[in-house]
Amino acid sequence: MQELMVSTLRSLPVFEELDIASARELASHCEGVDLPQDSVLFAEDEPADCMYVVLAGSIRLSCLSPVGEPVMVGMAQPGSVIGEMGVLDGSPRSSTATAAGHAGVLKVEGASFLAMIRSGQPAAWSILHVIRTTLSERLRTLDSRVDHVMTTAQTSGAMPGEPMRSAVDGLHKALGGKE
Amino acid sequence: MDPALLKDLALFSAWNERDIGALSTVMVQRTFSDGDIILEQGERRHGAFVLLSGSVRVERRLPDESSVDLVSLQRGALFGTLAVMDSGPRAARCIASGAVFCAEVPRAEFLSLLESRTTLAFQFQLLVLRDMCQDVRAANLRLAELVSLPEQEEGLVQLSSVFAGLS
Repeated sequence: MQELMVSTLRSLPVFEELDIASARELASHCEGVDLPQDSVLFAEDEPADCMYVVLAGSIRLSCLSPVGEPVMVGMAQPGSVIGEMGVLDGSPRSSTATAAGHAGVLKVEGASFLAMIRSGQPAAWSILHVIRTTLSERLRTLDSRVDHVMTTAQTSGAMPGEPMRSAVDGLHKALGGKE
Repeated sequence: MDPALLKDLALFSAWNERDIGALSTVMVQRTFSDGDIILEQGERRHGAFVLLSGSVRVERRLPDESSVDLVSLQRGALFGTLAVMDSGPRAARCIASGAVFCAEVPRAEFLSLLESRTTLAFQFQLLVLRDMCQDVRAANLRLAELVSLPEQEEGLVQLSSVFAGLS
């Protein structure tokens, strides 16, 4: 079983440069998690003590909007790393991760992961490289989605702020406010 | 550059003096006047910056040529890392608000720090990654707020009608 976990780890892009000894050490701090459709892997604002690598299926990442509705901010596919941000900076989860269908992930203990990248061994650098690329792509994708939402709002005449201002004006008048 | 300028910044609170000293040797001091464009959206020039004093307004030009203010950066902020890291275009325009004093890690030195496998390089990568995590969190929030705006507005408009009916 341990050897299966070791070979699984080394087949993932993020851990492919791990030597056998390091993979065995990390494998003892990993476990496979099976996720039925719509099950929640972690929830926004929870403490982050581990990260995950998607092995099969897709994981939907969403944030609660100010009105309490979930807004999808990303979709993680097999090979993707998720939940690494809280492990890296110690902050709570910034999103909720939900299985979009039947999915499988590898859970990696945060402390062991940090020890691995602090070890200075060659694999640590490839791990940092994968995380760097993941975060860069995530930021670029988010930027273009924000652009799309804002441009659509402007094109449709629903420029954010205008309806809000007119509604506030309406309330102000209704409550007897001065012009 | 004088390492004393970096020592009391929260960004480097976990760094020892030796690493701060080593980083400062590759940094270049830059000064800007009010309104100066430090980084231009779409361009691929320059390196990454640490804001030592003053504030920097970050605005993003949308595909329809309108602009939105994203954030106002204050002392201790790290900015301009994404486009250096992925060699892509600058995602936003950074403009000096008042007199601004920065430390630049030039592009070549930044990329060298990402590739060289030294303790300093490791510390620097962690610092950059943690900063990117904050950027992703902020972008997640911005997207969630924008997507929900029509619902908020609709709710407020409905509330407004109710009050109008009472008056």
